[in-house]
Amino acid sequence: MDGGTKTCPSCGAVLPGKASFCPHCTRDIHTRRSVQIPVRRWLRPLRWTVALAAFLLLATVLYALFTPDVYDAWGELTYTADGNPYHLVLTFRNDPTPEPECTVQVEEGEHYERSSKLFITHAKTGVDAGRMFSQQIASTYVRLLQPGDSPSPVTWEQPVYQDAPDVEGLMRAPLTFTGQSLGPAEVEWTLSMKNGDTIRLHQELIFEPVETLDLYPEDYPMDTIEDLRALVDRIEAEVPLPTVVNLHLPPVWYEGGLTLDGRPICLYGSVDGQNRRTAFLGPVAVTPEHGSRSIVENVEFRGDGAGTGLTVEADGRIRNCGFYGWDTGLLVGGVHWADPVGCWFEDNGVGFRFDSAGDYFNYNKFEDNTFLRNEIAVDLVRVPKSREINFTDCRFSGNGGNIRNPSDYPINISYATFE
Amino acid sequence: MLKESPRGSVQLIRHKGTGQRFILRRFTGNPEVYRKLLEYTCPNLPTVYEVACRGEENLVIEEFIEGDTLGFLLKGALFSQEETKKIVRQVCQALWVLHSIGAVHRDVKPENIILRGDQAVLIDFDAARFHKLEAENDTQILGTTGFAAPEQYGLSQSDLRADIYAVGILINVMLTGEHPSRHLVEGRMGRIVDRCTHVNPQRRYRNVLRLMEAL
Repeated sequence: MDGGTKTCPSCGAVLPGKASFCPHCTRDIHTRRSVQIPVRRWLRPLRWTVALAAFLLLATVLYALFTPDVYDAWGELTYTADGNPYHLVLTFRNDPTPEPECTVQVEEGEHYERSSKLFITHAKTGVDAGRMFSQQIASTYVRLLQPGDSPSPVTWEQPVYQDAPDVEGLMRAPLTFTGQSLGPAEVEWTLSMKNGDTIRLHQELIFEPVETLDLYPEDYPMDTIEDLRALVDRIEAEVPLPTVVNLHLPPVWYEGGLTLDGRPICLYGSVDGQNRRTAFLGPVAVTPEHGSRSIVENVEFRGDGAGTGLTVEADGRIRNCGFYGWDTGLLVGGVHWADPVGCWFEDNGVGFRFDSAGDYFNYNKFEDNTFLRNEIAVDLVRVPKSREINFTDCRFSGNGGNIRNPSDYPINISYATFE
Repeated sequence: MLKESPRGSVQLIRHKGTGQRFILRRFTGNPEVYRKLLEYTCPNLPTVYEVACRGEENLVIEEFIEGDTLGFLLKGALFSQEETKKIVRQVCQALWVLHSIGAVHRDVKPENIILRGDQAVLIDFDAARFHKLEAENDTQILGTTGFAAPEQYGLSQSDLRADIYAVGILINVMLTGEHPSRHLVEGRMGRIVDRCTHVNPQRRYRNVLRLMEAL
């Protein structure tokens, strides 16, 4: 062989230079290397780790899927059912604006009613989803937590489903309280879902007592329209909000009109021995810039065929009033809601016109009203939120037209009388 | 004389001085794989002690592995899944050495695996070739029917995945005694066999290390 010679390191035999093996002593004289197997030893623990993580994830998912959850929030929360996110809201308003806390001004001796409402909208679109969500509810329960020493505890009723969930909420729980009720009162709604989940929503009602100022004709001059206007000016200048002012009017006929456009002033009429009631012979406008509700009660408005007897652009209550001989007897306008109850509308062009551009609505039972010999008894031009108006126990007689309702607002005349 | 064929012969020889036994191979053809194995040592491959060539004739002295072949043992009984995994992992280690030097065994079968105690040794590199990337198909059909991958029949150039194919057949035979086309072993081992023996080499395990991990 080529390549010279070498000797066997074991036996010393002379071997060819390229020999790998000594045939004399059978020793391997070649330098060899071993091949390392690059086994990925970390793979097994990694696989175990991944498997464990997957198991934990699966267990978590299964736990989340099959274990009932309890949700607890104030005012609002988002809850997902069947893949749809719902926004649950508690409010005292007529829209789904959350009110985890609501402050109510209360007057001594007054009675109040507020409703805790549950609105449910689709969380992404904001569209009302009350009807769809109600299919997931097994039961609903409302309880009230309030100070134990309240001289006039708040009472409440269990919630009932509403006909128009988009404006009235899916459910409504009425609460009643007085000026003597102590707060805060916590309203707690518990929704037990069909899948076992429990949703608790809370809101708090805080009472803020306000002072009431009652002004009587014995104490303040108010026998003429001039006296009355001066008194109103003085009240607007001197009595700060939120003090409630009740003006108790004498049974006189005021030769002119009155405008209450500063602060709310409630007008209470009276009757004398000859059955003569407080009356205004000119137009009256109740259009306060700010403040709480305005009440007009037991007052007559007597016109000569022109103008509007009483214009109300306020959160108003019109009780036991009379409207005679006006182009429009009572106009509720602006962006407000006022409800006539127990009123008399006679010989007017339009007895009562509702033309409010707002969204706010309130008491919708316009009951015990009498519409007599008007050209049009009721003219529904614009009704906030298309709220149904209920004419229970109203009497329509001798009118040219009873109810003009060009926009077909919902009305209920089931218990009205038409002669 | 252990084996004789037109290509050569395999003899068991004994050294007069030491009494040590060796395998002496005479064959014609390419001794390149044996030459390369001179430089390596692996407990799962026989040690190649010397390679000598004269023209087309080659002489190889290699370690004599004392033990029974898997082919012989399979005539008596099948192997359990654990035994199979242990043996095949060692076969894979032997193949890794071959593959790492660029060679393909091309004749992995029970008769070419000897069990020396609990050690499996892959023998017989007569069919082994260096894998040439540029070659489109095998120039010579070598291997054993049933264990040879489709590409070894000239469909395309055989590479290390031809050995993986044969290992898949080996696993199935050790567990069932039959070719997977007749009776595929059930369960996870069946899926491993299935992947090893995919007709498309691209779909088989990429190398024996991946197969070892699967095992």
